[in-house]
Amino acid sequence: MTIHATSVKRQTASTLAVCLLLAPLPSLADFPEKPLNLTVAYSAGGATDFQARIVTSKGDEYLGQPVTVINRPGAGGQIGWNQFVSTGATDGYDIAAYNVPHFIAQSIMYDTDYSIENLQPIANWGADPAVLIVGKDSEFDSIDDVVEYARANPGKLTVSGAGLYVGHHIAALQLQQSAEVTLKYLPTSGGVDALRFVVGGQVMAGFNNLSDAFRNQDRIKILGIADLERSEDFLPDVPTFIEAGYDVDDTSLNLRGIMVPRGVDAETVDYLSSNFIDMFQDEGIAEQMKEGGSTLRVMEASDLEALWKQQQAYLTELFAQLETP
Amino acid sequence: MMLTKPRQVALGALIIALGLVAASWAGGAYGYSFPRVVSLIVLTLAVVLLAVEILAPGQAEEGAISIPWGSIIPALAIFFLLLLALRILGFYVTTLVGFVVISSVYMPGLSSSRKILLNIVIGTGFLAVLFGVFTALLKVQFPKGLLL
Amino acid sequence: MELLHYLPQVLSGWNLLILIGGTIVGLILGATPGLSPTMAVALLIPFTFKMDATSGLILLGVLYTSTVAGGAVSAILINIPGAPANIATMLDGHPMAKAGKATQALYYCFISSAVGGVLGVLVLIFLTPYLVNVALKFGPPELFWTAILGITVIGSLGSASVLKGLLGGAIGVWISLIGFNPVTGTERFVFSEHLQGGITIIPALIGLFAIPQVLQMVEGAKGANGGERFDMAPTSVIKAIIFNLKKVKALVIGSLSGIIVGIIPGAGGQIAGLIAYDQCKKFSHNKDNFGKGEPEGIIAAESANNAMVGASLVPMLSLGIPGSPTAAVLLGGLLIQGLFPGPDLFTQHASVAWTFMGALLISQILLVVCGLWISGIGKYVIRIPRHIMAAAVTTLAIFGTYSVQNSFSDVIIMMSMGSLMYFGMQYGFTPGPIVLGIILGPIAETNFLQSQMLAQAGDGMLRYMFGGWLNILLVSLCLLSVAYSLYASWQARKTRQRATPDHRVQVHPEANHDAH
Repeated sequence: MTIHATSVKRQTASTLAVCLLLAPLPSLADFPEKPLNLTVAYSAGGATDFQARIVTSKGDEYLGQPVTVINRPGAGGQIGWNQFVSTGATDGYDIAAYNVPHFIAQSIMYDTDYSIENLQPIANWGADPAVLIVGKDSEFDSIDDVVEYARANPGKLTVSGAGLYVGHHIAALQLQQSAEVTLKYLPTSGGVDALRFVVGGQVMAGFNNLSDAFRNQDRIKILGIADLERSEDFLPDVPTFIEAGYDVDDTSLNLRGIMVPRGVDAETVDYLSSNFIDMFQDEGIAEQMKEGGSTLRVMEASDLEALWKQQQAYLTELFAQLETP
Repeated sequence: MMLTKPRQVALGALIIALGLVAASWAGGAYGYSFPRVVSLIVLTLAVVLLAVEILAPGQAEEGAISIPWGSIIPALAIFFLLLLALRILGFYVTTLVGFVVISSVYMPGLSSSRKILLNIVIGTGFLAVLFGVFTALLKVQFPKGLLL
Repeated sequence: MELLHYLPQVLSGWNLLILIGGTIVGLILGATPGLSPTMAVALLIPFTFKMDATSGLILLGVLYTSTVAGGAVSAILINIPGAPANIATMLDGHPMAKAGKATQALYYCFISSAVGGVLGVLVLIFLTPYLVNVALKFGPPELFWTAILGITVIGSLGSASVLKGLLGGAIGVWISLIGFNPVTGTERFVFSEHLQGGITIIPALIGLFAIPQVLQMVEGAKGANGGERFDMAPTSVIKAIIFNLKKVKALVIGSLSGIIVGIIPGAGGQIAGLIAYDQCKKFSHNKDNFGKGEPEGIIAAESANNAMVGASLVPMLSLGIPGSPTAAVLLGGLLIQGLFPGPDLFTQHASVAWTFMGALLISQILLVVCGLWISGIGKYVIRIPRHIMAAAVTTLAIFGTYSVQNSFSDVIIMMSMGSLMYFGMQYGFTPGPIVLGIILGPIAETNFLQSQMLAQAGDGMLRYMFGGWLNILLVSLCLLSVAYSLYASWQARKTRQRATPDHRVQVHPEANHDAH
């Protein structure tokens, strides 16, 4: 009798122990149980914001739960991302939209709380290459024209871009380096301002996003694209810098995607990654993105990890050569 | 020199101006040129204000500025506590408590538990509407804290 | 004409419902202290996502218009402007309310809003192609001078000391420099981590206006016996309309100022009401009455606000450059729907574009009707006892501030600045100039720095900043404005000195408590 009681007790105890051990682990079938919070570090209505809303609009279908966008604008993205790494939970419910090379460049040049050390990529949705634009009535008709002018007039060719250490700035720096000219880079408070200074003639040239330039084609001339290949979908007639003989690669490519803080367990990361990639490739979503001239480029987590590290190394070097004004 | 009310004001402005100037010069040169210019303008205006008050006196009123501290201090204390509690207790709970406390502390006449109960009812109703509009409808995410 | 062609669509079932619903919701949102138009439009964008393009746009456009108009209600009745655009309205609106003419003030608001609004939309419909080129002429130096012009006008706001106004404005400009600057890439004056995002317009507006009001309500709350502090006697609507429409000068100055300010690209649209108010005062026969309850002040300010709405859509729809922060949010709403600014908008998406503009036009009329009706409700609002009102406004301030950027730091900034402002008001400072300094500061600095950079690559600062007809025009206006303010305050001082035979100058008793 004593033996019987002990074995029942032991059985109960061991069952209980197993249950307790298994309980805290979120079983994959249950995640996600509530909506996901997507932090967008830019204000409502901006490019990142509306692209993020489009590509996560079918959260119900692909993830089982909707994705709620929370805008946390300020300081070019720093406010939102700083807050994300300090208060973002690692249970997989808190995700954020990243802008590469912006956040990497910022983590190098500014005193931020975030870097590629405490953030990990989930999936990439968009790639917006930088393009070189000039006004409709400009004297320049090709990248060579621009470089020629810059050679003859060092420091006088004004080029606008959407801020410091952003893709546009990087493209301008690369052009300076490879063509051995000095440009006058004018940082503005955003892509819209950078574009309109070119249209209005306040600057002689500018680097801007393919998507914005594409939509304003009738008011500007697009001379070159900073990518590895021409944009077949949108600007098949615009040469790449590499074609034109300049060593400007796709570092300035504005990649947008989803990321989470490091520390989220591998299963959840895989789940999010594969489902977001499926969602990004949904027909309806792809259609909406195309209508806006936003290039869709889906990439997965492992490729992104490598890319981020690469960018970190390259940018650290590029900016080190930059003279502090 | 008598410290009339307007002179106190001008002196106060001068002190603030000097503070701004100091802050603007504390940083390096780059990126601080505009703040420096602005702080100098503030300083100039403050000096002019003081000069005007000394040379062409304004009000005949003297004495200190009358601030009804008795009525104000509870409100300021409540504001401070609200800020502390918002993230700990959660938005809705804290603002509800804040609402009830403010309306009860400043109730005219004698306070009674019935009147305080009325405030709680009004507060709950008001916050319920806000909840409906902000959280349910507009999906704004307020910090949750311990409670709602 | 295309507009007439699409008009029936505007008035059809679902769209009409949205039109009316949006107007009412917008009016109420705008009238609620602590909730700002920009926030309202931003938060409602996800809704339009689910609707089709036309309905979504109509909703956003109507909200934009009605929240700006609704903000005047709060400005007049509670002395808290719903948006920066309503600061000028408050200056004469609240004194009128205290004198028992609240209903009239509200009527004038809505009627002027409708007049200005219609003119603004008509400009949008007919003159967009011509005005686009004007908008493009505004480069960094031009925008810098525009900001300076706005700042010179600050001093003459209200009847309090011009010096204190300018001081407040300058301090406001300095405050706006706190935080990160994208052009220099530097982080300045971030003494606490909460200041990292800088001090932005909405938390500052809510804090500087609402909190001192709460503290003032609380000052007298224990002694008061209920809320009704002033009469809201009903007056004849027809009489109000006639009176209002007779004030042609104020209406014209208001609408014109609103249109011009709206067209200028960049986020300065909020100062439309202020500029109109100032100009109207300069050209008015009863200057001294401004700030004490002069209807012309309200008429100019409100017609400017609504004219600005239509005009700010000129650069927005044609170039994708918003003329005000709310227009920027509207742009986002457009982009999500796949509608992109540019000439294509009027050709490829003609039906959406024209229906949208038709809706804006109709909403101006609806605004008057709904607005007048809502004014009636104002009677009950002012009867709310002070202690409840104080609690409610505080709560709304907290909610409204947080919702703008999901930032708790903003709430802290809002309350701290508000509490400090209360003390500032005891010293004779008013919140208006400070908020305007905060709005114009970044515009002035960014454009100044950019001008510097461009001038280095060009002909040098002097040539660059003062070259071109637009620059010369703007600089002249600035000088005139400064000269006029100096002249006006000199005159005022002389009049005061003349009024009392001995050298003790009498100061108006209200000089220190103007913004109440």
